[in-house]
This record gives sequence, C-alpha cells and structure tokens, in this order.
Amino acid sequence: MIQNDLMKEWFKELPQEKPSPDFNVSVMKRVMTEWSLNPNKYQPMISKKGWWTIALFAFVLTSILFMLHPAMTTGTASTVPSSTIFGYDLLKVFEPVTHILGRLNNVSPAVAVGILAIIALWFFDQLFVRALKR
Amino acid sequence: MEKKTDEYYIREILKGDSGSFSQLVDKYSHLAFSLSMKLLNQSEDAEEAAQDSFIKAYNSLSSFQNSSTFKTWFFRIVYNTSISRLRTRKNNEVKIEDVKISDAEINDTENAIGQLNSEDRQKYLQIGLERLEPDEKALLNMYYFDDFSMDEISSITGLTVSNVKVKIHRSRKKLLYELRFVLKDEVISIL
Repeated sequence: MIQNDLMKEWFKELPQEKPSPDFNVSVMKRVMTEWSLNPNKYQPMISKKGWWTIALFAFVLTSILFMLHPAMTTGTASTVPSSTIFGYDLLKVFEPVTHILGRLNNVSPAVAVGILAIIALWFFDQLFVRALKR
Repeated sequence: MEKKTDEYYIREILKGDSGSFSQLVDKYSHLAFSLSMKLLNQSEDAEEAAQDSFIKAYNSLSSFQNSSTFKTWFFRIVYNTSISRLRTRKNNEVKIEDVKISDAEINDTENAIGQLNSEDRQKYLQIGLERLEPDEKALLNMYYFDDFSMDEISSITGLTVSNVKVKIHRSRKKLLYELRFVLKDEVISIL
C-alpha cells in the first residue's frame, strides 16, 4: 500500500501531456459540423419516460371504464329470437363477443379518440426521429 | 462561476444545446489526450484519436446511461479508439509479460528513486515509461496518475478486475525493472 502511494506520488510529479492549443476549438468545429448536418438529432417530441406515462394513464383510464357495468344491457335481455345452426345456439356462441362489445360501450368516444390520437402522435414521432437518424 | 455536473451538460446537449459539449471538451481534453498519447506515443495520432473519441461520444450521447459515470464511459471510448488505431498500426495483440526481478531489487530501485530529487525522478520515470508497451503505460497512467479505481479501469478496458490487478502489478514490476537498468550505472552504484 505504501509502495502504491509512493508510486502515485511519483506519477503525480510527471507533467501532464497537453494537446495543441487549438485542440478544443477543432473538436468543437467538428461537433458543430455534426450538429449542422442533423440539428434536431437530440430532440424527440416526447421522451421515452413521457410515452410510458401516457401509455399507463391511457391503459388505467380505459380499464376503469371497461370494468364499469354496461349502460345498456346486452345478451340476456336480447329480444332477438334465438336461431340454431347444426344444433348450436348462435346467440350463446356470440355471447362473449357481445359482452365485450357491451362493455366497450362504457368507453367514452372522447377517450377512444384520445387514445387514437396518442397512437398517431407516437407513430409520427417515431417516423420523424427515424427520418432524422438517416 | 458555478460548476455544473457532467449530467447537467449531457441533459442540455440532449435537449439540443450542442454548445454545452464544449464544457465536457474543456474538462476532459487533457485527460483524453494523455491516455491516447500513452497508447499511441505520437502526438498527432493521439490528437486525432482524442478528437475522434469526442465525436463518437457526442454522436452516441443519447445511448449513455447513468449506470457508469460519464468520465468512465468516455474513457472507454478513448481507450477503444486508441487501441484500434494502435492495432491497425502494429497489427498484433499487446501482451504484458512478467519480468524477473526480485523483491530485494524492487526495494533497492524504489529506494533509489525515492532519494532522487523531483526533477531527476521525473526524467528517469519518463525514460522508464518509454520502455514499456503502450498498454502497460496506459494502465499505469490510469491507475497512478488519473486515479481511476480498479473497477473503473476494468470498465474502461473491458478486462476483468482481477486481470487489471495482475496487469498493473506486472506493468509496475516491469517499470521498476526498466528503471533499475536506467539507474544502475548512474544512481544505484553511488548509493
């Protein structure tokens, strides 16, 4: 340990090698050239964190609305006479689908439009960033 | 003026303020050049390697994650850039071989160096370092001069920590071995 400390001391006495005086300027010139070729390189509209927050918020909102009791009853209250094909009751076969569709009625159109808008924004954001990368 | 952290400047650059990169260049240009110089041993080549490293760092800044410090991350780029230049020049792998020097000889050499005045010590240390392989010089420089820890050097060079320890130990031994030859006629005999 003492030997290591001595060696450190001796190394610290050595003069630091310095680059030429215009080194920093040259580096910054090259950086600015890179930047001018692609000035928006580091400017995605919404950060990854932002996208995750939006996705989580949309998911929670949709889930809550989806879980609510349907405003209009479907399936069991249907007045449509049942029809059978090869002995299968079509109304019973499609019951799960009508149940999901009924629940989807709970999701307000405004929320659905909002989610579509978010997906569109994400799509164009990705498109924009990829185009800039090229 | 208040000194800001590297992370602050990185955030600014990622927001689009490329000018903030000059702060990182000012802060690390000497260290980057010094490491390149140790590996490449030619100032023009070392400057080019250091410049290339800064540009590589700028271009991949968005992929920098705070799992390591910017300094370590950047030095890994400098090290790799310089090593690839060195390889294209030498076209062979640098191996650090163990030299035969007894503990008593190590002690004698260290005592002799310790008794020199600072100016002479610098002179002999530089001569000794010149006799080492670039990789050996770079490792010693990172550990003894730049104060990088073994873990940081491992992260920079891509070697395991135990491998770094062995290589630094051997490089140190080799430096003392070389110094013994340099000092032999001039100093050790006098003492």
